[in-house]
Amino acid sequence: MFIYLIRRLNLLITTLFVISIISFSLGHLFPGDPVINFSGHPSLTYSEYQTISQQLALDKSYFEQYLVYLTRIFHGDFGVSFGSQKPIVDDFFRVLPASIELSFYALVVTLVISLPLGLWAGIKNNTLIDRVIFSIATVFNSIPIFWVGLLFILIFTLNTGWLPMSGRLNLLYEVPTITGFLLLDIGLSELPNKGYVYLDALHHLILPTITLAVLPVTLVIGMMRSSVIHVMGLPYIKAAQTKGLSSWQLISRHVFRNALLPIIPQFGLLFNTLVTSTMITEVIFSWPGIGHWIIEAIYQRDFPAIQAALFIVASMMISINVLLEIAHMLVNPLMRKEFNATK
Amino acid sequence: MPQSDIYNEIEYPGPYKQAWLKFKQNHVSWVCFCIVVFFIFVALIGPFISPYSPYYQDTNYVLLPPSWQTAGNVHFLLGTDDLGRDVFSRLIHGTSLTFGISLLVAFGAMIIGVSLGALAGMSKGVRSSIFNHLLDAILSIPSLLLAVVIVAILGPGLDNTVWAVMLVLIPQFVHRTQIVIRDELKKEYIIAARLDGASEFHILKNSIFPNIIESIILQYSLAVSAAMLDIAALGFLGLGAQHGSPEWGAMLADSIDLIYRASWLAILPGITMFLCLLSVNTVGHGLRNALKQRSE
Amino acid sequence: MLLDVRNLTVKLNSTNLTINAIDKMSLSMRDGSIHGLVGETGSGKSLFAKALIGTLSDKWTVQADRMFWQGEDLLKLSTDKRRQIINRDMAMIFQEPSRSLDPTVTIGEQINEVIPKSEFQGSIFSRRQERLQIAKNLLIRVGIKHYQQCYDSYPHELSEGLCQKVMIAMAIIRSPKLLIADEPTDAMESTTKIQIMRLLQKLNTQKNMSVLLITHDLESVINYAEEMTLLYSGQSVESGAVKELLKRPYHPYTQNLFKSIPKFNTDTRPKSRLETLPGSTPPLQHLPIGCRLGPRCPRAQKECVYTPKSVKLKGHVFSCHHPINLE
Repeated sequence: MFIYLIRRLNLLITTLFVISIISFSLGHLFPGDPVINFSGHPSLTYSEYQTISQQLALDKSYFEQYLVYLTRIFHGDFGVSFGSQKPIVDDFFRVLPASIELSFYALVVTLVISLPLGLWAGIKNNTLIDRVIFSIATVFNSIPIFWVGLLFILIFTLNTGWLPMSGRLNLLYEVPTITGFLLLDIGLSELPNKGYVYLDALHHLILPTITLAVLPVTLVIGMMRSSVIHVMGLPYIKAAQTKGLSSWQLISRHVFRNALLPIIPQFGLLFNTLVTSTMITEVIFSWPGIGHWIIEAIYQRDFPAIQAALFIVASMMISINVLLEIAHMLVNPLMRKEFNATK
Repeated sequence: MPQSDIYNEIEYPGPYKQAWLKFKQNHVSWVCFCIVVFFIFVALIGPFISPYSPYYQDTNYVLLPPSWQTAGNVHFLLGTDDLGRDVFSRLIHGTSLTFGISLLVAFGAMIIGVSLGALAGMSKGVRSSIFNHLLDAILSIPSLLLAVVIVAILGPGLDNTVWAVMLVLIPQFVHRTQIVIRDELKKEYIIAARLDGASEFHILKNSIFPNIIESIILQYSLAVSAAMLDIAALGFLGLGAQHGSPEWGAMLADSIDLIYRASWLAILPGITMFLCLLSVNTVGHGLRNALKQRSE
Repeated sequence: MLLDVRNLTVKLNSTNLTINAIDKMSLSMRDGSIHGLVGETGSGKSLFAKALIGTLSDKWTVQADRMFWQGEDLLKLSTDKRRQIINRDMAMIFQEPSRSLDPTVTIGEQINEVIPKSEFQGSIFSRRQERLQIAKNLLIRVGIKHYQQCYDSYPHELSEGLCQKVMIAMAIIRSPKLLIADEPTDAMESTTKIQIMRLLQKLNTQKNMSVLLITHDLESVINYAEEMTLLYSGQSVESGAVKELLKRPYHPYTQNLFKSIPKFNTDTRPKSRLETLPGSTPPLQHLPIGCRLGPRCPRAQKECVYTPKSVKLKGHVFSCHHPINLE
């Protein structure tokens, strides 16, 4: 077990290392002067230019430059943004909670909807129910997410006026930022009409959450369904049927568990989709999160910000993947078997 | 004459034919396959048959609704946009841009990805381990983010999008190929071939490749729909095809400001793209089912 | 009679044709006996077991003149009622036992969940303790010495023989009247095989539990079973007491099958061939009409294109137009 953890940690570190190399090379690949790209100060006097160049070792070999870069990101120094002239890390963590909040709700919606549906479809394989669920999943899987967003806005905002179109909160309300997570902040704040504020915040959440959840839901339904079909065909399920278990016991104890375990590592893919969808959703609904921030950075050719975003987002993805794998290892006895066999 | 072959009259179709027959049995996939063929056809010859040029602006007919509405005009079947350009012609041209380019991009990525994947799958030891770490790192970057970053390096525009999307798709092909080659290498017939003294290249060409080509085609169908989504998403974000281009994503982006006055500008390109993606995905599902049924 | 099945037909409905995988097969079992069901691979033995216990998928349809379980026709009952009777009275163990246990749940938990509520005597609070005790007793009864270790293990950590013992433990917990053993010792070492067979025999004598032993291994049937039924391509060939059958088979197939057992006492020449019928078992798509043994039978004549009726003679049932040993 210990060796396994060390091995995973090794993988994590090596991959982060590769990511840092990619991120470092971006500084040179982006158009413009590397000194400006790395530091983030667009207009420098000659002497400033020289000092920064020396600080970042940009007059030395690539290897030394890389080492300096590595030390900088180790200290959380990604330079300053072209746009705001503030440290990128501060900017990043200012917008991060909004994205996490949105993704979290979407993830909850995804799991709540898709796991039962996938299980149901898989158990009733080759029946009408299965076909209906699977067809709907395929249809929604094929709708481009930006079009879903537009349609939602068209239907629920412009035509009926039921839900707000953009932002996290009506401009009337001023909620002080404490944690960055809006629903928590409202709770912590001293506003007189908390109930209304909550209601407004939830109204703003509905459309982005659903838009964001569409693609992950269809993905998880597909994964769960094929996993359940596979498990249902295995001999031990047939054997369990002859042991006098009720079908509810059979499904809840044996089918669900065995179908869910092997797809846990595939959830990494889910997070990948989630980030991609978040970027587009945030742009459509003007949600002040990371996706919005990155796209803005690209419009403004804010290279230090893009460089940092790539590194941080990729590192988060890798960490999630490794954590999922370790979690999978902990809960799935079959994985331990393979591990023991290869030891 | 002794009849050794009593069951002669029964003909067993070959594996490809069998898969094809299974595929055709499923009507839904068959219809979708026809739609995909239709889209390919339109993408190839569409630009020659469209009634107007996609950039031709008829200032007499601005924001004309589709012809089935009372205010519509039969000369502009699906209406016109804010500059008086014919939506129908633009959609036809968009097919070549979004769908046609996706097919090519995915094909290019497949060629490069499969070759690299074959190299990686057949190699062992340190080389393969380094390669794997590199691949893991790239695969952990969300595809759209990677595409966006590449566009940031190359600068916006449809031609740069093509390269960005291709670079994004390659690791996925490498990963897939590597996995299926690894799986295939574990099987006994490979060991048998190896014991017969076959060289690595020989094994790859004669034993492994015929057995993995179907998974690669499957991955190709996934890649086409991913490429379409990425190209259109970049166009939508204004990083790919530029405003005014008939690329579907860019058309959707252009429609946002007019969405209340001219909803067809947002709905029609969306429906076209949805139909195209749905057919490609369904063909992919049908193919996977056919292969699964064949192995049963 | 414990079980009395007459003219059971199991059909496979595929897209363009229906195949009678089991064709008018009959089988009857006495209370408390070990009954061997013998046949080659693909002769429909396991199918019969599945049809009996009702775990066939929708692709199959089951018909029978009657399927009496202790005087009650199972096929005439509603699905729920039937399930209930089967769950109460029958249990089944399988070949490849390690694949028949849920790989992600410990043996202990799997045993616990099949303990029926009626087994508990104490209050709800002492359940945990009681469960543990019952499970341990069971494991000891099937001859597992290190029960604690076994209790905490996952199936993949145990050997095939142990897994089969666990399966048997789980099967006997409800004290079923009939245990269906579907090739229980397939692919096991011969010592483990003997252990399992002895265990089954012991359960049979001590608890009066009938065993339907499905196997292609003639020797274990001859050694352990009292009665046997022979199956060829889904048709029942001959059935009766094992000793009678051995002494005087009426069906050519039976005779041939017994001849194919290698004998070590007679003066068999080295490297001589064992006696077998020419040809091989027909595949399901190409079943001959009438008696399915027809094309391979040395005594086949033109009547054999009609399915023979079963004839009962001195407690010995066979279906053949031209029986042997009857002169």
